[in-house]
Amino acid sequence: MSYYFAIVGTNDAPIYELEIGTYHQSGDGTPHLPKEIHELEQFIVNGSLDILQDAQFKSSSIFFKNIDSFYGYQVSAYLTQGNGKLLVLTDLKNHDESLRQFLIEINELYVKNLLNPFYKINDPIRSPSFDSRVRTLAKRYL
Amino acid sequence: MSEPPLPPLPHPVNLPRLLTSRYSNRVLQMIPPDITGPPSLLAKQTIIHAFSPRIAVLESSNVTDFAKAYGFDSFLSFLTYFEQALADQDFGSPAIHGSPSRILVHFVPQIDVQIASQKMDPSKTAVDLALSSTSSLTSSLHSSAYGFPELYDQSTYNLTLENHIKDVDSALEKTQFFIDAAKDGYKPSQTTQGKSDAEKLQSSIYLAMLTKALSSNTVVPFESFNHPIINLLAVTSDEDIRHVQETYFNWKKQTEALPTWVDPQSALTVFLILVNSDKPEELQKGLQMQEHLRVNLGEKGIVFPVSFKRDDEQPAVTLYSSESAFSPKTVKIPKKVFESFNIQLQDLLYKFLIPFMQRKIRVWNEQVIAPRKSITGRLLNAGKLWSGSSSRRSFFSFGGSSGNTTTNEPDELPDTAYNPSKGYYNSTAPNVIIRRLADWYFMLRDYKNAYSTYDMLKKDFMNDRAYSYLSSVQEFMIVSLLMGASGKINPLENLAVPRTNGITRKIITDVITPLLDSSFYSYLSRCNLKTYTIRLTLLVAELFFILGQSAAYCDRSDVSTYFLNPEAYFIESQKLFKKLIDSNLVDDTSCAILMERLSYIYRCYGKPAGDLSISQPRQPSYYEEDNADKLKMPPITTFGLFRSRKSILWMLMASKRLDPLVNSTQVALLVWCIDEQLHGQSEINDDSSLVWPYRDESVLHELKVALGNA
Repeated sequence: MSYYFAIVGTNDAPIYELEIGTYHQSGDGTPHLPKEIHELEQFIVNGSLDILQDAQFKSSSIFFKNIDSFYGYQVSAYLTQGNGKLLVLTDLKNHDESLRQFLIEINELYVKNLLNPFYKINDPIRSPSFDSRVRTLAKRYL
Repeated sequence: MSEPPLPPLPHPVNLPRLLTSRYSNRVLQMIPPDITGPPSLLAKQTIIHAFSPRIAVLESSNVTDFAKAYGFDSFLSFLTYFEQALADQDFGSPAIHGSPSRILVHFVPQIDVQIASQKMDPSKTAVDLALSSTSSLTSSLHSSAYGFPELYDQSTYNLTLENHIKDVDSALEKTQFFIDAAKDGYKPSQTTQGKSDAEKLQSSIYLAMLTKALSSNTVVPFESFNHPIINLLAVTSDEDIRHVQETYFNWKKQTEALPTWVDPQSALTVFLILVNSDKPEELQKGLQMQEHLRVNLGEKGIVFPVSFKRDDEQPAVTLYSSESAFSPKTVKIPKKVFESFNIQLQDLLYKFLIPFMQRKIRVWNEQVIAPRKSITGRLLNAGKLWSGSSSRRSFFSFGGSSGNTTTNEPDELPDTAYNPSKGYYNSTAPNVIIRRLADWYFMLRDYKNAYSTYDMLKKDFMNDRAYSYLSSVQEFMIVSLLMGASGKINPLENLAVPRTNGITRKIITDVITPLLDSSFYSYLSRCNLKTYTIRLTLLVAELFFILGQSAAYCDRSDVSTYFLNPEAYFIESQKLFKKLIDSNLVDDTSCAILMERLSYIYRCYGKPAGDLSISQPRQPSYYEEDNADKLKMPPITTFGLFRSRKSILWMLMASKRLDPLVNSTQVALLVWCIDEQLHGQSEINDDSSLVWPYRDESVLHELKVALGNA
């Protein structure tokens, strides 16, 4: 199982991206996305924003499980309070609560990052500590 | 202030006929053309044309000489040029009381010539259906391996499509739009001069594909659309009457030798007597011939005065061939000849064809449908199932060996029963007559009756395990349902038939989807008919889209009461296009065209309402003016209505499938379109938000690099 995770800013541009494999079921965290999906992953996730925009004001929830799919790959989304989006593309069909927990914790990290006075909203997140924390969370939940 | 008139195009662009007719202009005024595909109403016209009645033409040598004098190969090819002239009308409205206000036809060669060409053509792997009486036991065991001919040869089809794309490319490269785009490195620019030409040219590709996939003259036992309804015997008045009679009897003899699944009796024979209008005495001869044919042969004749001498000084009319959608062959004939022929053809259609079809429908209704629907008919029908007339095991043979079911000798079967060893019914079988009746209803655009008649057959074909017949009936059940529904909303007239039952969610899940799945499986796995499977999926997908787009553009409040939201139809259509793309039934080029169509469907979301709201400029509020750093609000009126990002994704996939090194013009245009979409989206954002699609490892970047190298 592999995951492509992206934080999309309020201007719909990705500000952080991570491709990671599962650590469960004796996985070592190496992603195994096929080439076709790998080269299109940003566009697939971008495409799911259309569906998310349609759904986001029709529902009060902020987590949208399997909101979109593309050839067996599912996209789940988490809306932040400032209309940022946390999006996950995965080939895992029936994931449990762990994905939601992962996104909730990422949201906390993202908010902390926003509080940084040297960070401007929608700028790419290049902080190595942010990246390592995301990877740790991925190891725990995915 | 009025805009200055645009300068003329540097190169005249030869637009396909399909997109320059009066009808298409009306459609394109309402639904603007797009680079990814044509509006669905044009596709609907193509579908109606594909399933129109066939008129078989047999001509004498004198008539061929007449056609050659006007620059045609034969009289048949002369008549085919009139198909396009007839097609330039709106066929959106369904028939009222079984009588269509307008009808289209196809002129084809005689059925024996068609069947012979199917046998000769090695690409159409047809077994000799006429001579397969000495069938072996093994053939009866493998009931799917009858080798019915395909609709078309797939390799020829792919080649035609590729040639068409090449033609489009060379025409596209001459458009001002493409020249400007190439200069700017295919960046979205403000100049849209000639864009509409480019869009129309691009649209022609999908229409050509659809036309090729649907229209075919292949004659098969399990559907009667390609069986001619009128046999037109064209002669001239100066021919010897004995010679005409001889030709007639020879032709009759040939029809008797046709396979048993063809019923020549169901077609009307009409003599077209061409009279040389330059010689006044010929008219009398023509009338005498007409009378003679009526009295001696019992056949009808039309006397048709026409000038046999070509006069180039008279005003001329250009006729377009319907064979090639793009760069059509054109022939100029005098306007007088065109008009008189057109009137005669209208007479043939509205005074002969339609009344004949309606009369036959009445007769078949009385002879076949009424007894079947009556209580005694139903009881007998139930008895038939037990009596073992069908190929299934009889009710009283429980416990017998299962081998008995397949070793039925053909001699034991009655004439009207399904012959499992040959794979067809005889033409006299009630089921075949009912199928023909339903097809005729369909061709007359009486979809309601067509659906109920097809429905009557489903069970019988299932019991007989006549899978080719079954899948075809299921296919046309769906098509009649959708065509009937789409006929009830006409966005061109802004008309919707009130209080009608549209296609509801329940109909889709309970009727259409099971029928479609069953038909798809039967065509592909049981009958091994690939082209029919493609036709089924493409047709149903396109019909769903037609329904969705018609509902979207029909600006009436009552439409939403009876029809689903356009989005629901779009989703069904997308599912089927995706199914066809994933089925590996079509080659890469066709696949890319299907992906473009899918992209077009995504682009149609939120239109036309979305377009209107986008054009209204939004006044920035006081707070936004003061605080430049405040986050911009997205356009709330259109938020979530569009699927332009999805459309970009499918355009990218289509570009990849087309290969920038092979189809550089096509890919360049798609990449231009993707760029335009990306920049259109970012109207609320700054350019920094558009860095990600152009990164070095991105597909879009790779495509652009490949285009630069191409």
